[in-house]
Amino acid sequence: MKNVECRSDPDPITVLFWVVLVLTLGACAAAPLKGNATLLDFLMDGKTSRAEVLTTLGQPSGRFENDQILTYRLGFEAKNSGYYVVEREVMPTATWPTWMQAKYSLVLVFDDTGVLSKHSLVKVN
Amino acid sequence: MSLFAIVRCDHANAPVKFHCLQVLALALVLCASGCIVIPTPEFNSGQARGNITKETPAQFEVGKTTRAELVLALGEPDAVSPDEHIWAYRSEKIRAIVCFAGYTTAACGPITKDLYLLLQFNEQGVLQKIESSSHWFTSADSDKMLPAAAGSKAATTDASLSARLQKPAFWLKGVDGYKPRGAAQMRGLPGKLLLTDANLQFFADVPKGEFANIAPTGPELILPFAAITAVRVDSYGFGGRRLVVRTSANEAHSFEISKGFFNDAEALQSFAEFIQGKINR
Repeated sequence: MKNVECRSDPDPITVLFWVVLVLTLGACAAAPLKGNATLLDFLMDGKTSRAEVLTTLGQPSGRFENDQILTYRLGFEAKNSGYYVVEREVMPTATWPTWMQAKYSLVLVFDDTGVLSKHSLVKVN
Repeated sequence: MSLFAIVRCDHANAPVKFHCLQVLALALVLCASGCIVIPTPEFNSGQARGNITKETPAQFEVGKTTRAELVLALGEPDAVSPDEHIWAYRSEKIRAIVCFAGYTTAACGPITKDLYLLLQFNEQGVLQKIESSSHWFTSADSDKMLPAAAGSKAATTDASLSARLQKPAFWLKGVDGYKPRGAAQMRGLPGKLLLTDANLQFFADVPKGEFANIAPTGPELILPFAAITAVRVDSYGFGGRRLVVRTSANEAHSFEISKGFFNDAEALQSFAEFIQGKINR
């Protein structure tokens, strides 16, 4: 007696159902959080150097008084209370920058030796 | 509804660009043509910063507050002059919503009022002057508010003194007029074209969105006339004109000078004739 293996091609409707289901559930998957709750923990007045700041946060959005004052624009992720750096935004038709992505302005003031002397996180929007 | 409800006249807050009477007249005209003005409590539009109010100037002391103290309190400025002597902050508040209705369509939009804070510092970075002003419906032009930021940059000043011809222009590096194919659609780098007795110079504008204080300090291009072998004005389509120079190193550079929507044919011809006169010597 022979075992008969029955094979049938998958029903196209079933395939379509699974594809749609997978895509739909994929869309529901949470996007990775942008914010980092410990992003600014390294900042310590009297200790942190300008080089450390540039290495950690990247290029600032503003540089003033020969780099003695650096400013960063920060977005805020409520889900993890985390900050993330955003670029300066200017609408194509406008001459003034907007603050739609950034909620905070991080201001860093350095002394003559390039060490952080004062900093503040200003809620802007 | 009361038309007068939308207007909060504040004569003390001078200089108010849009006066109360003008606002009332505009509201009257709008409402006569089928619209509704819905007054709202003042709130931030979300597009500009929200931490500037009419009370902000009182936090600072002229002759005492430093630039560092100010920026630590208010955050990054919205614009600065190239020499950093003038800083500007801007907030945008929504004061009412206006809705227009026609037979088949309707549209609504906010009535906004911008508040500006201009702060002037001396060489030592100490606050010398605070000015606040407001602007209804549209934003004031930042270039006019910070005049020094409007030009290419402070570095052009010295060159401008010795310039025989100068105009705002667009520079197309390596482009030979309208060749090759597709060059007609290229947009050049905005800036200022200067001709001195010795050379051609191009100063690039500060890129849009960047602070004026980070502008490069020298010209983007210097071509001594001795290095220029040929000059001409090329035409393309309806009113398209470009000044083209070729160098002894076989490089090509094109420049557009605009007048309104069209190229300034007269200015381009003057520049070409000036250069031609120099390279013929």
